[in-house]
Amino acid sequence: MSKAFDQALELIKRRPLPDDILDLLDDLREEIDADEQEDFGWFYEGVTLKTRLLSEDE
Amino acid sequence: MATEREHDDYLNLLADSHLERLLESLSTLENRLADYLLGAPDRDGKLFDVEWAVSARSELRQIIESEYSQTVQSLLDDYPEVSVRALEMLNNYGDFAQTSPAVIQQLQRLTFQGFEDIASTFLDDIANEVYQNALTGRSKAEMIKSIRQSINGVYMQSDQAEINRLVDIAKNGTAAQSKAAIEKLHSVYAADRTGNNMRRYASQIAQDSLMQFDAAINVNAGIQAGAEKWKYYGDVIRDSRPFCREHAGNVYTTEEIEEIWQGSWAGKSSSDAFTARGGYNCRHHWRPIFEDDADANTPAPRPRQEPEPKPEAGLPKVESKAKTAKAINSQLDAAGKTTSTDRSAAAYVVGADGVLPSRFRVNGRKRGELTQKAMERSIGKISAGSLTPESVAILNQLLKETAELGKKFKAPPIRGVNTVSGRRAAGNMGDGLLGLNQKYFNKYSKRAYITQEKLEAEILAANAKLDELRKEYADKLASFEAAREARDAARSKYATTREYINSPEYLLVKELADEVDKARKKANRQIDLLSDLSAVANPRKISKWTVADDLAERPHTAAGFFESDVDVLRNLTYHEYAHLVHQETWRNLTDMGESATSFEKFLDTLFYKGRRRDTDRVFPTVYSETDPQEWFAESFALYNMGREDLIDPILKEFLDAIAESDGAIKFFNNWDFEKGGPIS
Repeated sequence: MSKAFDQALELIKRRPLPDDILDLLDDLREEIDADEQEDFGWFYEGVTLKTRLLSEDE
Repeated sequence: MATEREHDDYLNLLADSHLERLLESLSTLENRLADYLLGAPDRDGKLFDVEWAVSARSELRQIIESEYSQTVQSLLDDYPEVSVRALEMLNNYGDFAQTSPAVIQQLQRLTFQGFEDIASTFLDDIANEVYQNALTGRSKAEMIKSIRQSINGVYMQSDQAEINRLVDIAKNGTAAQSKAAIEKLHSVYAADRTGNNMRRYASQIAQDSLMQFDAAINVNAGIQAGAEKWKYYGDVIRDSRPFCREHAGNVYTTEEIEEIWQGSWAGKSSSDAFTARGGYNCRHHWRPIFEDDADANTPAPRPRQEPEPKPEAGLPKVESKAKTAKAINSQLDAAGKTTSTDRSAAAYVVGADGVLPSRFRVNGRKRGELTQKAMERSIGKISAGSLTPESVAILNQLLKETAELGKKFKAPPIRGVNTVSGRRAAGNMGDGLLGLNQKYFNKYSKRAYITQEKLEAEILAANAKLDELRKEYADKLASFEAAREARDAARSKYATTREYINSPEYLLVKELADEVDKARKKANRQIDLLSDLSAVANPRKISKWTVADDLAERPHTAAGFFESDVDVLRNLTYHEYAHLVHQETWRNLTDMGESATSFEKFLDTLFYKGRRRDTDRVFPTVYSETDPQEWFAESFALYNMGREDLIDPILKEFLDAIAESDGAIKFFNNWDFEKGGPIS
């Protein structure tokens, strides 16, 4: 497992998630090994479950 | 005379030395360009002089040629010595003839051209940026920073001492220190696009050119001597590709090599086995073998892994995409009407006024469209995007299966499907709408249906097409270069910049630049297609992990437990359906935000012990540790795919209880689901 992948894994476990979590993941994705790309895609799956939540006033 | 091992060591050391010299040269180049650009005319730090910007091109070219191109030439000067040493090594094992100096010179010329193409591309980028920055009045400091980045990415020099210290560690520290420093630099330059820089491309070509040159010498000498067998040799290190690990140390006939190299693997650069070997940055080599060579008696190569029989048994019939999409729409339309004001019903909760609550942003929402309207528009249908007919056939079946799961777990069926693009999320779920990553779905549906023979034929055809597109790109680039030379020569004919930039020479260069760009994009799209095909061909690792085993051995997601490609998609769909279950069961009209529903609050009580994850629980996959909802989704998919043995006992008991309850579950483990809190 590359260090960037490991960092992303720890990042998505944080609560609350950082506001710029998607940008942080994008940056880390550039650093991971080619064979980790698909597994990395799941990090967006979990994160978008939170980032797509509407706020009360939307 | 050198052995193959000694020759391998020599090449590796030389490759490292070439890389070091090249990087040093790029550092100097970056500083020289920055020094020159610092002299650009400015007003209050802003660029303005378009005429200066046009004339800057020739100075930029001169700097690049005197710094970078000269270094490249000095690297190529080492190549004749490589050919001498390669022959010495070969003669340790047989009797081989020297490659002719003309061939060596030709190989050097071709390599130089590769380096020059990079220089030419970056000169264009830099000169265009300088010109555009002058037109738009960008800050000079910003322009210099941007151009520094285009040369060396995160390794660029800076006037900040801390950044320079990190750059120094990144270049000279141990592997661990270097990696940590690069990460820190990426955080400093987080907003910048630092990936596509000259350093990156030139570094790769420095390594690959040397190894390809050595390969050409070895193979040429072998062919001249009539070799029919070849040894694939070189160290197997941590970073070696699985492909190289499998083949390193083996001896193959020419026919076997041609057959094996038609396959596909991550990092493969070309099907020319003898030149490309394992692909980009590969440090393995070929050596001809004859019967009297001790290595000729090397044990027979390890047999290739037999591909699993394809297509898989029991796959749904593939019909036209439109026909299957129509069948899916019919399912989704019925699901969309499954609404009720009764929270306990296996239906989508709706207000007394008939308004459906929305909690999530909708994939593909149009600009300015109201969330509510976007959600309602997505209900009852599939937006299939570029899903293939095979994908929609499998999806049709999986939607029926999740509808059955809904009956079992008292949740409504999925009521809309759309495709996720942009970010590479595997999928998502919200308000009963399933989002699918079409690339992921298409990949596994293709794997499920395609025969190995057909896949190999497709890869072969895609490689041939790529060669064609690369040639087209090279031809366009040559025309562009010629036109640019002509334009520069014609510069003095025009009295003013305005006349010059409207001249036929200038406009032709502009037109050809567009054509080069289009050709490059076409070739890149083909590379993407080939990469997708390679991904389809790559074997998957199936986990045998059990709850008693080391946690480090777990797969990333539940898909890792299943051999079938359809099961990979089933896992994704069941996983997303699990999110629907926790989002919709006992949902209140007013539930908003994270952990909002009663079901989600309950999952929190199981997942956390105090404020931390309860490590006494069973987490069957790496991803299941993320949060309570992913833990549930991963476990739900395993439970419903026959792997109850892998999930936490409390979740198994919980899922059993939901399945056995009449209507929505009301109480479990001291939780009142209707109320949304502990039983009081």
